[in-house]
Amino acid sequence: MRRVVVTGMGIWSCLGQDLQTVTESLKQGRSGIVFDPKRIEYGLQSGLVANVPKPDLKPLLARKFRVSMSEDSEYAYMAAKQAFTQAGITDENLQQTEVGVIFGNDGNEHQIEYYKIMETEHDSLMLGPNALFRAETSSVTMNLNSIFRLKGINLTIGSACASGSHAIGYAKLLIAQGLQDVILVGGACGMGIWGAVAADGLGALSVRNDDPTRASRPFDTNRDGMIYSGGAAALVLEEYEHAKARGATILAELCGYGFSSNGIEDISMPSADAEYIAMKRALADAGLQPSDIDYVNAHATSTVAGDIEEAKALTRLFVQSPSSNLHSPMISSTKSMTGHENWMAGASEAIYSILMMQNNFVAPNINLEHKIDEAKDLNIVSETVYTPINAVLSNSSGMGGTNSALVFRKME
Amino acid sequence: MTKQEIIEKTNAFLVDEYEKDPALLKPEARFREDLDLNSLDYMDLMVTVKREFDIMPAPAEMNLVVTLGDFYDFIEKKLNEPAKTNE
Repeated sequence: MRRVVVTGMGIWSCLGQDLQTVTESLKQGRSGIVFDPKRIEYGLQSGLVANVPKPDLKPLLARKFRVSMSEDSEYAYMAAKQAFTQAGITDENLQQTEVGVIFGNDGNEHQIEYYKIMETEHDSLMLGPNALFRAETSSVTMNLNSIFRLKGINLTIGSACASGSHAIGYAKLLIAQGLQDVILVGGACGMGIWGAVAADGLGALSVRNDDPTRASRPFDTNRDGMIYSGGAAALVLEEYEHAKARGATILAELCGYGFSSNGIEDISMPSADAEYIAMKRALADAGLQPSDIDYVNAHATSTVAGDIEEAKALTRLFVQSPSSNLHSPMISSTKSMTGHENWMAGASEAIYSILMMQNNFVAPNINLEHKIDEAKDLNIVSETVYTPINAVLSNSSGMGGTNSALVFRKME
Repeated sequence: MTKQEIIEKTNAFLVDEYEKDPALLKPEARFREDLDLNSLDYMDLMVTVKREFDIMPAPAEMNLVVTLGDFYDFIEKKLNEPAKTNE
């Protein structure tokens, strides 16, 4: 099997809109969560949301590109542009090399706009010719494809909040098998109010409205739900020899991908057993033991059920299994700072993990005051730790019972 | 609305919204070749015309527009059409 490496990264998140700022935010344990009273006025229980700025694309892209872009495509473009730049891939390279794109996405809210227009105008022509391109679940990949004029695989992976992670894993398989040499991967999620209403209706969002920066508290006994968040994250995945031949800087090796589904009837319940299997598979794919992992970026979203199941799975794999040396790696959920970035989370958390590995620190799981019993044997880091990190595992799970785990390690 | 007002209003949205160079906005400028407007832009222009002039061209009518001058004439003609009734 061919080896897969990361040669570029880009991000547009509530922790920053460039890698340097995001690294500093992670080190400082800075929360990106704010209170938006409009959400309460509109009828949501949670007025909490990540503070993600809208990019100004006018100086960067011609109108013909901008008019077909969904909100999440705009974030994705900014992240992708950074990732290609860091990878040293120019527009000329993109035309000479077959580059693919696979992004995690599970829908946007543009259809709601169209509903409103149709209810008043009763004329589909009033939607304009670009409505279709903004509303499709594959809006991000179709837009990136045409902006960068890509010629390789073009695919959107929809698997709820594990979408970004599965997108990276699936791209790894294609590169490892020799079907592609370079794939732009990532995840993107819009920030509009309509994206949050259903999760709010489910009671999944935190209502700690008077304390935004302390509302996301994964693994803490006083957690009460997730915070709606989004933006975009992009990585350039490349076959190792291909990257070496063109003299690219290798940021990390993507050495493991594992997946599983819960196999239970309850559509909203997580499963420790299934999460354990996904992590175990990712380690097997990487050829690593649990004791080789220095840091785990937990999926933990600050929901009551989710954090318990993941804590059980982490304990079983890293503390209770004989090959773990009965010792927990350092663990944190960066969602304590970012909120839940949904379709983007698997990709952004891969980037957060690689940034920690590059800069030898572990970002804190902020707001952890009273650890849940199920996590008592886990080394959940509540303050920034500066230490060499050589291998990381990043977990993702989604509604409907889908799990994904990615393992990255430093390249010697 | 006078022809001059139609021209000014049309040129304003072509510059502001469609980001066309004002120097290119001459009556003889061809939509496709000179102004780089594609078939999707034609559809978009129909919505803009509806918003700006409260007239809705049919797609087939818009396809007859070749130059900017045609476009001004077309809008003027539509504005001067008698209102349709159910009789």
